[in-house]
Amino acid sequence: MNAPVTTTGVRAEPRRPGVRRRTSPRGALAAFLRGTAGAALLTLAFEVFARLELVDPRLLPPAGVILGEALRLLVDPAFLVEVWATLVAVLGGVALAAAIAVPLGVLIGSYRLAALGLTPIIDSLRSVPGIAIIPLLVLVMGQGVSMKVTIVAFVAVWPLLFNTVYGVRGVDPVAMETARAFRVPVHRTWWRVVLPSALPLVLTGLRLALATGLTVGIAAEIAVGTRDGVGYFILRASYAGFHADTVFAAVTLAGVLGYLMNGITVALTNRLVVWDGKGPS
Amino acid sequence: MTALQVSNLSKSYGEGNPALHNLSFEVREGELLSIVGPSGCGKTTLLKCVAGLVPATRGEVRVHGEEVSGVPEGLAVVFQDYGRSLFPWMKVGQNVEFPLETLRLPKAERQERVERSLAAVGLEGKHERYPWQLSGGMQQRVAIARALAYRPKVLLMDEPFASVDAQTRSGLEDLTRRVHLEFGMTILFVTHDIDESVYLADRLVVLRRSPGSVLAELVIELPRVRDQIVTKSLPAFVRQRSVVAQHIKDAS
Repeated sequence: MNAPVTTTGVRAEPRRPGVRRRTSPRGALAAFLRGTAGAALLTLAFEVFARLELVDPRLLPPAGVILGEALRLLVDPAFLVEVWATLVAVLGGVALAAAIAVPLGVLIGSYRLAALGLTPIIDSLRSVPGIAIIPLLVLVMGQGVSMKVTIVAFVAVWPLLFNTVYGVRGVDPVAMETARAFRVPVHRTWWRVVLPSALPLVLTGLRLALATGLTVGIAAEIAVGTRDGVGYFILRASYAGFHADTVFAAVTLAGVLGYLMNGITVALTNRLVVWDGKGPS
Repeated sequence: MTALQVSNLSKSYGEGNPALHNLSFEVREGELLSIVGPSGCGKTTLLKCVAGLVPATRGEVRVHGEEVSGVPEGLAVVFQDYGRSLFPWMKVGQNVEFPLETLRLPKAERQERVERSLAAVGLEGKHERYPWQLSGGMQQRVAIARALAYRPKVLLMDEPFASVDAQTRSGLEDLTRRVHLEFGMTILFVTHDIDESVYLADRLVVLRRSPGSVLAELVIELPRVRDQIVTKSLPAFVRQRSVVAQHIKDAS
């Protein structure tokens, strides 16, 4: 199977305290300022380049125009409905993926036999590029939300599954032995020892799953002409002719959506995983 | 009455790799027995066999007459590696309470036991802290409190103070003596430290290594209530400590 995305769960390595250091308020402010400065610089460069009109401005509108259009879209119910449709599909798909991947990951991570039996199936399934099965799914499920949820779940299940497996395998054997020495039943050990211990990696999996899910969800909306979603909105704006500003604005906002989902997951991780880097496992 | 009986215990990890060979000894009810031996003499393996965490290759272990197959009831373990044995996602109080949930005790009784055992190790009011917010010595006291709250009949301690500083270590040794007298359970205390083994024990078993087997057994003649400075300067302490040291030296 592929390598874990972070090394938090790998126990053979010596402890590195403060793997994810908490930044001080001043550090956070500095990071924010640096980030803003970078974005501002990029926007300015884009603006200047577009104003040079080396490319037809109807195809490449200046940054200022795009930002204005993006702000207009943010309060436009017609756009927000599409954002909502995409969000429902992505969150639904990722939730479905998590419901499958986390229990399965615990099983595979805990039992050698499960790992041996399931690895060939998993390896062959995950070799299928998610986007390639969209036409098949459309044939079976139509172009509605259930197709989108399914395709998102199909691509989101892998990062969740592998990170859960590595998280579970990384559980400290002393912690497991402690639970066993106190005769804690297996199911309770899973809930109270294995899952919390694997949680940092599971949440990393969730972060990756949301990012991939959003990409593939929007791709599905564009590829097969669903009747809603941000992808559908972008596609329609592109076909309408000379609405490049709307297309760019929608794409930018899709990026912002991804950024927010990532940020929320990171915040959730910081809240839930107070112990990370503070103790073993 | 015999609390713990080890008879002809052998354990090997694979062919020709014996860790323990033909070990026999017993621990009487309410007794604190030290097992001392050089590193690599299979002390930890012995303790895991007694705890039912690993199966014996030959021979048997009986806890209160019942042959051990799997972890017996009424037994608790304090591991050397407290940092890994305490669960970092649980607060101190939750760590102590966790094993009690398996005993299906009512909430009120669990709380009461948590209070009492944290008090017994001098950690009143630390429930809401996380283990990693405490010093190493305090963490090991949490692990001891967790074992105490479980009210085991037999308590196994696997080099519990090997990774704390000398000062803290003396304090924890006295704590062990004190809770032993207060709670009256049988304790099997494994260590490689000769002073510690004599200071704590009612009786003592010396192991030799490769493979681990019993080299000598002796009864420690020291007062029940002990003191780091007074006890350790008693002629009896000095003499018995030399006896143990000589045994270990002869064997290696």
